[in-house]
Amino acid sequence: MLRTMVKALLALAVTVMLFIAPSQARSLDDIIKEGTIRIGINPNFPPNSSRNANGEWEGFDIEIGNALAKELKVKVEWVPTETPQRVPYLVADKIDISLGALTRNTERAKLIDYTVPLHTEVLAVLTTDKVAAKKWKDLDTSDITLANMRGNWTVNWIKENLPGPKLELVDTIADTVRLVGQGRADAIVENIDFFMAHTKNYPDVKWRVIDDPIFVAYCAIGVGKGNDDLVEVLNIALYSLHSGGTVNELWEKWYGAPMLVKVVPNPYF
Amino acid sequence: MNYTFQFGIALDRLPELLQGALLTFELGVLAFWGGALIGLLGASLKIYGNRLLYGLAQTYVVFFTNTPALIQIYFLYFGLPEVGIRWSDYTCVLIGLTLNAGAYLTEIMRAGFVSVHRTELEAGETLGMSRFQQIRYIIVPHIAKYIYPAIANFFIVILVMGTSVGAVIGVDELTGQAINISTENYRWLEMFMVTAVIYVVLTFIASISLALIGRWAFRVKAKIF
Repeated sequence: MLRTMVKALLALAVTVMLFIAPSQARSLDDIIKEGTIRIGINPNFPPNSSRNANGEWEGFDIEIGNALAKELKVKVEWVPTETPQRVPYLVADKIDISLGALTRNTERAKLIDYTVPLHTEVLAVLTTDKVAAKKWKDLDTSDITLANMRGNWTVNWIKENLPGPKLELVDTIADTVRLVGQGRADAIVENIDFFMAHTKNYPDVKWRVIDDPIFVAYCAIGVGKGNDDLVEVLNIALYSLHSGGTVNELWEKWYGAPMLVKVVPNPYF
Repeated sequence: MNYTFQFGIALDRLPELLQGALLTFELGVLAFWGGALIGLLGASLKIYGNRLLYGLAQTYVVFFTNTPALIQIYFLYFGLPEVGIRWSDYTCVLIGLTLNAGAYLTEIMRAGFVSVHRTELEAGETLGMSRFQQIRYIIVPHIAKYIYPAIANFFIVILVMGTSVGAVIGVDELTGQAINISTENYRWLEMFMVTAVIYVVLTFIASISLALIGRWAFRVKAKIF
């Protein structure tokens, strides 16, 4: 029986290696030669990226992706990647670049490469009139439940900085807002710009943003480890999109308000 | 290959994964036994019930075997609150899986019921067995032997594939734990490979236990491998 077990485990290990062994990222030359760039976007993330009534992708990321593809003179193949899939998809070479508000941090940078920042995000608290907290630190009590998503970097930030509250983790931004809307959770500590669009699904809930921003992080475009040629081209393209004002214009168009903290374009990278 | 596997980082978190595995096992066992009770009732209704009861059981089976468990559980978790029913994430997964298992087990058990030959029962009557004795000595052993392999397989399906749906709505079972930890260390490949091995071990434990139970209780010649 032991032999059968060992055999089965070996077979499993080999199968797993075959299927998920990470491969070399597609080079810039390959992308140009094949005429298509595979861009990872969050499929359910308005106003960044979502499908419109006609089933077409639309949003800030979509316009940025199209602008970058235009610079490279290639077509875009959109690949829906949920929040926790972004880094694994880059590692496994299922996408060439990842949009989807990918926050820069050192843990991710060990596995993937980044371009210069695309936009910022401001960490703050979205809650309802049922919660009395005036400062974000007021949430650090055990009678609070915070909603968030599995695979999100803020989950760990919350565990370190707000150890008191319970955490309820779901899969998408829509579900996270739904948790608070339905009263399963009390607040969302996240980059709340991205969550506001979904609050409209719960018009009877008195939503409010606590006027005490926590900090500013930078989101960049994720690229496969060691794909330097692609990063360089994207950095130059991003510099023109930033300095020409396109990024800020698109942000205002989709978010209905200017980026709270703007990215300062820098020609040296 | 640009990626260096670092299994040490994943193995450091084994205690948390095993905690998740325990919850997976608990959900699997509870949903299976709950489903078995529903299955017994459903099968009885389909065999002995009148047209209305048969129709009820049949509707239940058709609905739950033809929609994904993910959607059923998602509905319990996010749909019911809209009509004022708010169950915890654990309750939703447990009820969802139980109802789902109940539908499949109804069909499996019905097959067992119809496999009992009329002649066997007549033989029992001839020997002067009471109704209870007939059930105890003829029907139950017959059904158990006949449907044992199907039931045992189904337990594995519920245990391994069913429970992982819980991760979507906040239950920290094995898959949920693996995602939680990967979020911290970004070692997704290593974490999921270790998790896959734990699932295989869980399945082995379940197969061996079921085979032993089968041999001891129902005298089924259950092979472990």
